[in-house]
Amino acid sequence: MSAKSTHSRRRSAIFVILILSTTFLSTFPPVFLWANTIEPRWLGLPFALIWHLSLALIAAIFFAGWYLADSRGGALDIDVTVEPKP
Amino acid sequence: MIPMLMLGLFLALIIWINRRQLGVSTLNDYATANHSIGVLGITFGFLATWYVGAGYTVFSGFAVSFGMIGMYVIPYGIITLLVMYLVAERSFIWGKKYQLRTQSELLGLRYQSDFLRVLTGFAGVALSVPWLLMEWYTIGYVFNYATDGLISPLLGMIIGIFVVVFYVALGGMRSVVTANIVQGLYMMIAGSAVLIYVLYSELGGLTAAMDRLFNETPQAMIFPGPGWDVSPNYWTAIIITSGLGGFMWPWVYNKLFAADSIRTIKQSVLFAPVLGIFSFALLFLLAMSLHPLPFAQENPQQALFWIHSEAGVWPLAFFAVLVMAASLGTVSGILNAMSTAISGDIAQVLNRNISEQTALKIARWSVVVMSVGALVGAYVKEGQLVFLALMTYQGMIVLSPVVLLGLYWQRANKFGAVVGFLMGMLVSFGLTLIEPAFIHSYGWTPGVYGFLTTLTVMLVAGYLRPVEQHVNKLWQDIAIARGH
Repeated sequence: MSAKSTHSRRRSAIFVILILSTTFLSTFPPVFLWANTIEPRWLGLPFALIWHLSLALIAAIFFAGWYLADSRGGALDIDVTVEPKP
Repeated sequence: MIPMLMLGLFLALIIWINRRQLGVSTLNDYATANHSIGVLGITFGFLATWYVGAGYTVFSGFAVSFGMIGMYVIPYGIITLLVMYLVAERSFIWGKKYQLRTQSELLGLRYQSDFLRVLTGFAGVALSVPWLLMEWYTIGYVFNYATDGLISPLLGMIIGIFVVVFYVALGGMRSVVTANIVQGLYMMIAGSAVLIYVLYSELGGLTAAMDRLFNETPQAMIFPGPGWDVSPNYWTAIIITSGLGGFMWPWVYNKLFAADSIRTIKQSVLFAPVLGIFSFALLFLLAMSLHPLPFAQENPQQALFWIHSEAGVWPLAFFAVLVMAASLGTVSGILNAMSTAISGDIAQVLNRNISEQTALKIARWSVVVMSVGALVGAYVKEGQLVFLALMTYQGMIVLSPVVLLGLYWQRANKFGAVVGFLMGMLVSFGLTLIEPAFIHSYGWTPGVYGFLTTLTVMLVAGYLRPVEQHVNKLWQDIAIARGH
């Protein structure tokens, strides 16, 4: 396996873990129940709602970081040769 | 009159912008638009397909009744996008190299199994039927409500069917995506604007609406909501089930094969969460804010239509078009995927001699037959459709180990995929129908047990058998494409 391939796999693994960690914080019952409260409120919104919206926005930032890293690493410029159908 | 005119204008616009897309001549072009769709089409294609019209009636009714729990869609959307990002590269590379058109064809190639291709093609079609019926029903309901009963639900459905069949059957994926761009832009711009307007004009703004909810029904601001006693595991289960199943729908997955590059797909993952979070959060906040209002509590599924009609004829007209846009986006994607599956994954596999021209004809006639058949939706109660549609998620999640392990694990094999898929479906639907006590007390939905069954069978089968010969070549294709 080439160094480029190993680097690409490591990069993907890091971002998958980061994004899954936001999902974990949204769904794992002990953490989710800890955040499942009304106070403190912001703009009238309950904390539970702010918690989930914030985690989704953090996940969106991780997606953007992943895309930029893939783009700089050349992982998005892939050339595929079409194989004629038999 | 104004809502009816706006609905008519919107449908006319959809046909007009598709006037140059109506002459596809091969099944490949019909199914994938010859891999030519750019980032705008893929982003809005995913959003318009994913946002169902029933989201503004049935699913928003869930938030009206129980408040906070309706928010599960946002974390589930993140899982779905992660799955999309993960499957994009390999699906695109094999899709382009072997000119694949559908998810089932991809699975048939990966596992070298025509049986699995037909099986998953059939499952995709069968599991999509309740969604198709529910969306037709929603289209009929929109016409009926927006015209104050002038157009009956059945006539509304017939008008919707005529428009969609016209552009899907003649234009295929190219027309579907072109319409999706218009539908998606409308949903994001005009749709969001009307939701904000109603939030301020009828409820006094976000803070006032939330303060009212806080003072009258604070339980609606947290899980599980007023009058509902359910385990916290239920929250986890619905997010994981919907998140993993959300990208497995053929009508969503197949759009990967229409993209012109991997960059396009991954860029759309970049835009989709921000647009999705913003627009869904708005819809959800408005629905949740309606909880204290007596009419909304008694009629949760009509609540959004009702509050828009209270705001005036123009807000109602804009909202009716918003729901119509969401419904048409989903229906067109489903019809395109189902007709391609019937023609390419079932007919062409059962009879290899079917030509591309004949396959295209079969796909087109499938659209017509399915749409006319869907009129039975008018005679099925909406509650039954919702139950069936939610049940299909318990089947869709079972497909996710077959797809994900197939793409990333060389040891995944045909035996494990076929047996695992069938056993997972049996467990998932068996538990859904029998509903043993532990399903409610523990909180995990039946799909989670089905998913774990499929995963276990595939892992065991993968370690019991050697890696299949053809897999090395497929992995080599990936390495060559990446330039490693």
